[in-house]
Amino acid sequence: MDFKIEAMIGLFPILFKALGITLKITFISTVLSVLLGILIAVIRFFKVKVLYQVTGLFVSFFRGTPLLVQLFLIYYGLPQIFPIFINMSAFVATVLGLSLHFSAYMAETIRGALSSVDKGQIEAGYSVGMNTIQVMVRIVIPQGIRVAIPSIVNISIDLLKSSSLAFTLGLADIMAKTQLEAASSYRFLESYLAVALVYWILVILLERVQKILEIKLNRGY
Amino acid sequence: MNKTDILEVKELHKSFGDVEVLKGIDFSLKKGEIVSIIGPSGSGKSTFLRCLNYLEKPTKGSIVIDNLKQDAKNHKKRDVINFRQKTSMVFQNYNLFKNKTALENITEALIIVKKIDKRSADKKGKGIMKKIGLEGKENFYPSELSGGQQQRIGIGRAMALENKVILLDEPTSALDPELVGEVLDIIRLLVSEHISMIIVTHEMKFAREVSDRIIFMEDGIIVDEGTPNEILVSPKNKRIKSFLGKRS
Repeated sequence: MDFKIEAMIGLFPILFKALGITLKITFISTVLSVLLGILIAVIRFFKVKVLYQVTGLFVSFFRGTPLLVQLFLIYYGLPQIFPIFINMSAFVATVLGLSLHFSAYMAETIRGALSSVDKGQIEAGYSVGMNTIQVMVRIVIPQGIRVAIPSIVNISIDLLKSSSLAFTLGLADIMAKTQLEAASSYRFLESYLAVALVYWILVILLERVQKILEIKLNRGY
Repeated sequence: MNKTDILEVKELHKSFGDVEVLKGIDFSLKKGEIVSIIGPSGSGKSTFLRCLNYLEKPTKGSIVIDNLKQDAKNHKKRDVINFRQKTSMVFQNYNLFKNKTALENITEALIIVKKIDKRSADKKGKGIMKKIGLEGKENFYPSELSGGQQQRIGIGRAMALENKVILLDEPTSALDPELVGEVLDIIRLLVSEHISMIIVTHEMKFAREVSDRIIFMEDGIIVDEGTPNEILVSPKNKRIKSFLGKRS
């Protein structure tokens, strides 16, 4: 059997150095996609004129086309019409792509969760003199997010794993490092197994975060 | 508008699609007066109350509360928030904010809407918690409280705002019979403080006890009004007699 455990273990320090990039991409993109998702969800919740149609198209496009295609469109395609994007780094392009792509999923999840907050509380908010923004920010969104947490974490797990596509734009994340190492050492099984383990552990940690969030937010329910 | 009046409604109409629920209501409320509205389900009682708080937008007519006017014909959207702050609503299903504690339910609007600093709001909120007999439950969430306790907080929330008129929409209808009493006690407390109130209720005995005036509504209009004695004890109107189960 040709399996060198040392080759696998030897890869971990290298992956560890690149871990920061993967985590940074995942963290920033998750935050951005949640924020954008909330914005789109609120627009769709209130059926705001024009924006409702625009966001409908947005969600349809970013859910309806492959992430890889979107990343290429952003990184290689956009500079063609918008020169401002010529100097865009692979990091920014990846974060932009992941944020837009996953915000479409976040939006649908959060919109559903917002609708689950009972209308009576919205009326109560209005009746005490709050405006729509106050009602949404203070009452509806916090309760909607609580309902949406399992799905939001689910989507960020997907996002974390999808960040491995960043290597196609030449970004030195853990996947890119693995590729390089595997290609030079010919230790494909060990290398990919090592990186698989790293992703798996990260996902397990995310699941932990979900548990903690749920316990915290479930107080009072 | 009479000088002693705090609220005046003229020719108020409200339709939902093709269905006209309010068919021209004229009504006024004196400062400190307590009026109960009774009548069969679907008569428009709740809709009328909700119009006063502008949770429903009237289709025709005008409402003046404490010199602030809303006219259905040229209704100004930016005035609605000010207008709503003239009244406080107590809901049948309490409608407490589920993500807020008992105390926060009372102080939320004080801080966010009335812009009172948190410390004074908390102090006021705690005073109200005591008043409604829920001292010590400040940090409980609505789900941890009984229906009666939740409705007391609903009333406390309305009290805290110190708005001109408190509107109570069937405040005891969703409660177990044994919890009705504690909520009525809190309303009696408001009565003793001479707060202007309009109560939609099915509690006839209570209405008779606390009201200065009773209004009987049916089919979107005010059929009759008078003192509790005139309407509830010896009604002349045949329809009211049968509604109250009295033999004519």
